[in-house]
Amino acid sequence: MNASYASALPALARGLVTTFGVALAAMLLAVAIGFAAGIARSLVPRAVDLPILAAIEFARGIPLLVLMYFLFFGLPQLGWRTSSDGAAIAALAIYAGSLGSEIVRGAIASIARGQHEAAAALGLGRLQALRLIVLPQALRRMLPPFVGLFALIVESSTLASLIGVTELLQSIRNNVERDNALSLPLYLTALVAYFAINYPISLASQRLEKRLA
Amino acid sequence: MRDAAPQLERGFLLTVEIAVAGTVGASLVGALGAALRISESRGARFAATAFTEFFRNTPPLVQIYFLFFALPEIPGIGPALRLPSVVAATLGLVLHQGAINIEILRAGLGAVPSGQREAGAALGLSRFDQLRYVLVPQAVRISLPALGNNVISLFKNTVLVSSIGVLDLFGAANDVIAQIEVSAELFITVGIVYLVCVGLLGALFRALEKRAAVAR
Repeated sequence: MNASYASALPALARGLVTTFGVALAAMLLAVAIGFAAGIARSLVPRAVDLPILAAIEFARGIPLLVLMYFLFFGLPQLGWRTSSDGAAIAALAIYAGSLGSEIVRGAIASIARGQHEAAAALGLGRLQALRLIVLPQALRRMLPPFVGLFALIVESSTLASLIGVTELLQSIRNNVERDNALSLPLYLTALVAYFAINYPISLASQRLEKRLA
Repeated sequence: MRDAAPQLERGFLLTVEIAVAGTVGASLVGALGAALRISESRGARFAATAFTEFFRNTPPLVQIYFLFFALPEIPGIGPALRLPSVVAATLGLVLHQGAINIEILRAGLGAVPSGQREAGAALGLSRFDQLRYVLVPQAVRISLPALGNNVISLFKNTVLVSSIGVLDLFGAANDVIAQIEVSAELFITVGIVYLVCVGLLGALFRALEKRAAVAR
């Protein structure tokens, strides 16, 4: 490797750290949103469920980049200043959280009816039944798709580069801008780096799914 | 906002064109890749699996940048690979969404009970006819919900083409914002257009699933 490529590496390492920071923050929030909305949807009557469902469909249906631009460029127009990091994390969390809520709701719904009924027969309330009987079983089923969701967040975190977050992809773009001769090696590095992160994660998700099935 | 209407309209048409071309391309990639993954040749299976895993596990935005910025820099053949931005962007979507289609169809083929193929063989159907008349129709039916989601995901990902200067709906909206003024209103309008399209696509696929469903 030539010296110029090597000199780009420290910036790439910093970008990688930012990528993980953004992805982990978004993942934590997405898990929180996913559990809150997913459990709420499993408990509330249909009429109350509708607005939650509408919010989820909205978050899933709008392109992530449009949401991110709205949070970063649009909200300040409405008088609410946002930072690029904050807007990126929030948009990723809202999008992934909407998918997470489907994971949680689906896992809860997949636990056999008899389990809910047995809990009721034991005199447990609905919340108690959920906490003591249903959720412990449902958690196992949620694990593989949540691991897969993290890979999706890492992949989608590249969009943060478009609102000025210097994550891995943006640090690569900056270095290509400085020296166009690095275009091929650096973009190859980007492909390889993201593959090296996401392939093991999706493998782990598939393995877990097989093991827990 | 009114002055911007023709620009946005052209952008929307381009978005639809990219989405249609991308869906056709990704379907072809999916069909070809899935065929290779169940072929008898080890080499073909390995190549198709490697393709699937690589393009599924790398971000579409990075693929688009690679095709647009890095390909022309390959020594020797590079200049011949200088793609127009709209082609590079659509190709990136085709590779990513196509790889996901391969995985969906492979899983669908795997989900058809093996007795079905054996019954086809017992009826004297050739290997190709077993695929054509027995396996593929059932596999596609099983895969339909996932294939539909992937079309919707491709439609949403068309906004990425704006990142290399293609004036799709989102690119046109950003152009308007750069020329005239930043407006939250414009983002909201554009967002609603995407939401409506996604909703329509969702309804279309649910109707398709209903039609394809077989009473058991």
